[in-house]
Amino acid sequence: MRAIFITILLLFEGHCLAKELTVYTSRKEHLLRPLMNQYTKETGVKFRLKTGKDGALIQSLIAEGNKTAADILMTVDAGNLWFAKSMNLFSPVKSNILEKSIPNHLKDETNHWFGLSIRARTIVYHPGRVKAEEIESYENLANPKFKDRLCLRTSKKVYNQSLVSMLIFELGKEKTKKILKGWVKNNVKIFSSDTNLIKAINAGQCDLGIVNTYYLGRLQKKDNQYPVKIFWPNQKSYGVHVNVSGAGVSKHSKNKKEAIKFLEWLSSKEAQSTFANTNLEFPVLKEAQKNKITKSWGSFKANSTFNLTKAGELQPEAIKLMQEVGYK
Amino acid sequence: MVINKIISLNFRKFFTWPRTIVLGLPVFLIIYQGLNHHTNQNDIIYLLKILPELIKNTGLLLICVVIFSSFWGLFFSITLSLTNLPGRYILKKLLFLPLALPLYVSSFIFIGATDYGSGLNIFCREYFNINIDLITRELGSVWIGFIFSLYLSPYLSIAMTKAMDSIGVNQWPVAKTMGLSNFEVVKKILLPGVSPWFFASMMIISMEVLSDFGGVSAFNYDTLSTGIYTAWTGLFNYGLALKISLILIIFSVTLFSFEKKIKGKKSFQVKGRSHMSHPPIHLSKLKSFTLYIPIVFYFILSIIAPASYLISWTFLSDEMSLNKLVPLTLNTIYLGIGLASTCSIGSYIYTYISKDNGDYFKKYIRPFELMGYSLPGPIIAISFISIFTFLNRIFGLSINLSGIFVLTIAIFYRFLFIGERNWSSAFERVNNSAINTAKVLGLGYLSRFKLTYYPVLKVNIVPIFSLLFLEVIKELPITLMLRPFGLNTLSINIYELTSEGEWERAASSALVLLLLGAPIVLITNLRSRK
Repeated sequence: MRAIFITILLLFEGHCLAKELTVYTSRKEHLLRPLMNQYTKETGVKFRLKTGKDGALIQSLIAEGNKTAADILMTVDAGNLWFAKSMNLFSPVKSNILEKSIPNHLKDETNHWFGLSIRARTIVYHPGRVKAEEIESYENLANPKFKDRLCLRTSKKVYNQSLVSMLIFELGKEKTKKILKGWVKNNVKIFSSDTNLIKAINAGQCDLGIVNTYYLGRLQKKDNQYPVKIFWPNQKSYGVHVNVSGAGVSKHSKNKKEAIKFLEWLSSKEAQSTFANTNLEFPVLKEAQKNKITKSWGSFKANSTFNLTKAGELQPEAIKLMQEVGYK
Repeated sequence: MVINKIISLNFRKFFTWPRTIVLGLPVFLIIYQGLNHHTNQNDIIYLLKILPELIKNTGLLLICVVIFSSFWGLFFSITLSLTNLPGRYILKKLLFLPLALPLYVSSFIFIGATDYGSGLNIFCREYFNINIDLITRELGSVWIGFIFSLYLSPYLSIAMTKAMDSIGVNQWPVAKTMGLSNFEVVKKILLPGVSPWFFASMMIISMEVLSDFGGVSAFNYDTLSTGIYTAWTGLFNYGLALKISLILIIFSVTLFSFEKKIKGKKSFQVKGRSHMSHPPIHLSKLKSFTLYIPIVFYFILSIIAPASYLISWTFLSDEMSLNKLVPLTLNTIYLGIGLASTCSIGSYIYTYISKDNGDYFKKYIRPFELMGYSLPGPIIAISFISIFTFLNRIFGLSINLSGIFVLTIAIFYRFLFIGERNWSSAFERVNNSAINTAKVLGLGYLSRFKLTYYPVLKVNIVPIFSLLFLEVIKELPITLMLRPFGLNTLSINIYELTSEGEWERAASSALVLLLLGAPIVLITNLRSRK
């Protein structure tokens, strides 16, 4: 009897002493687990994950209020981080490490959230059917010479909403509208996934399109001769549109210190390599090692004038604009 | 004695309103929040711009699915119940199988199979100069409606086949003595007789179409459900999303009223045998062969081709790891059994206690209790999070919002409609005069249940559980949001991988999900033979 009592006590005590972080994340579990396991190994801190779509996770946090179990909210685009901040779901973070490691345009101005990996949304093309020098820019895809040759992902995907937000920021609403109209006028074929879009280029259904680089990376990982290439647009102007997968500390977290420590660890050189390379993204930390495939795409000028907080602010306008011109 | 008192009619009637309040709470919350959301000028302009197309698309899709499903349902029920088609017993059992494939998986498989680079498309282009990708895009709602009907029509086919079996055995000989031709018997006697099953199943199909997001978004087809998501996750406007949900609620209430109006007071009771050992229509070999053409076409499209794709993708990817698949499968089975049992029992109790409610109640109030099936899953999940957070706060409770309790309640709410439809169809077959006699004799509920309800309802227990099990294991949004931390299932694994475009890696989980349907068919088969 005493043995049972002691065992229960020890188990209970063990449970109380075990540090644990609860992460609400739209970044997929299989992309996060390797990092979390590594962190648990190093520090003993364990993780509980709630995965789901950004909107649903944010709404959960709103509904749960101060009863939430979440310590960290991690999303796969900056717009949702901006929205979570505007809903007062994040607590500001004071951390020299994070402030130094993450470039200004990839984090919140008041340090409520931080980008942890870069996702570049660029142009891909079939070198047999398109000359790289014809492409130039996102704007140029509206050129009639690309009629019947352009493929795009659905306008409902946040990646495109964020790209159009950047165009609005850089070029203004009217010019962006003209570009979008041009894309649609080019008899654009719409896909529900970037992977299918790249495969359509490979199959000859179209010649070029806009995707997040890691989707091509995955195909190149399987076949290093995959006949679709990356083009970095707008290198003479504002640069390639980049978004982030990032995170912030929940306002009602009971483990804020631990949560900040984990974010700091994620911005370290070693973790950054794993974080970005697991999904063939780009690390936010310049010194972090890049993957062989991402290296092979060469260096590029990323847009840095468009602070990603704007992605969220301008997103509703971008969606309405896309609907207005008939970009499905 | 206590049980008899609790389930007495007066007691049930007394608790009708409290029951409605509890079951209607998520919908009332949506309506309240939707109506109270401040709508600014921009929101109104936006709504006016998008709503006509969303409503038109939703209506069109609904009509297409209903037409195609009606075809499959009528075809299978007449062919498998009334004819001596060889292999009809096995085919009846196989009708369950397409239900094991979630719409979001089957939609993606069809997109993959018909896209420009697919083998089928290349073949059609080379030999017939036809680009099937272009054709399917042009067909839009007709094509999507056809695909959806392959996976939703089993609700109708299964129910109608059972109903035809039950009615045919009694009505056919009588009708024939009146000199009616086969066609006239089917048209004038059988079809009106099976109409309660037809409309009950059609409601399930319609509700599933209304709430579907995964399938339509794979086809990039805009419906009210995708409009809700765009408003919610794109415009960051949950209130606006709820406002669009209100239209979905109006759609559902209209469907309920329509069903009630058409169904009217129709009901029938079955006496004696409920299975035709000697089907009345005898087919020649040529006719049997001809009938097999659409049957083979249906099973190739709904099961064989998708399964082949999943198998080939599984082998193309390196994801076929038993270490990953076994825990996912076990979690899925445990969760499925637990939740399907709760839903089966809960929906039985609900159907029993609500069956004596008046027409007014059934027409106007009950739809609000059963609306869970037509609402987008994430909105249901958020409603329950809000409700339980409120309860925790007000009563100082500590109900875990990511625990099995809240998940069970939400899943029960979601699938109550499916259980209720099936149980109420079963209840309609219970002999009322036998119940009245039992009441006159002063028998208590348990004795009445044993003598009158149980003999009729027992054949439905396994099929209803199976149906709910299949529904629960493929359910995604609610399970994703409310599951206990760390509890992963096959459908969650499919979501995790497919939302990253990694279909080949998700194929093994989808294949196991499909294979889980097979034992269900087997169990139902054995049970029926007994």
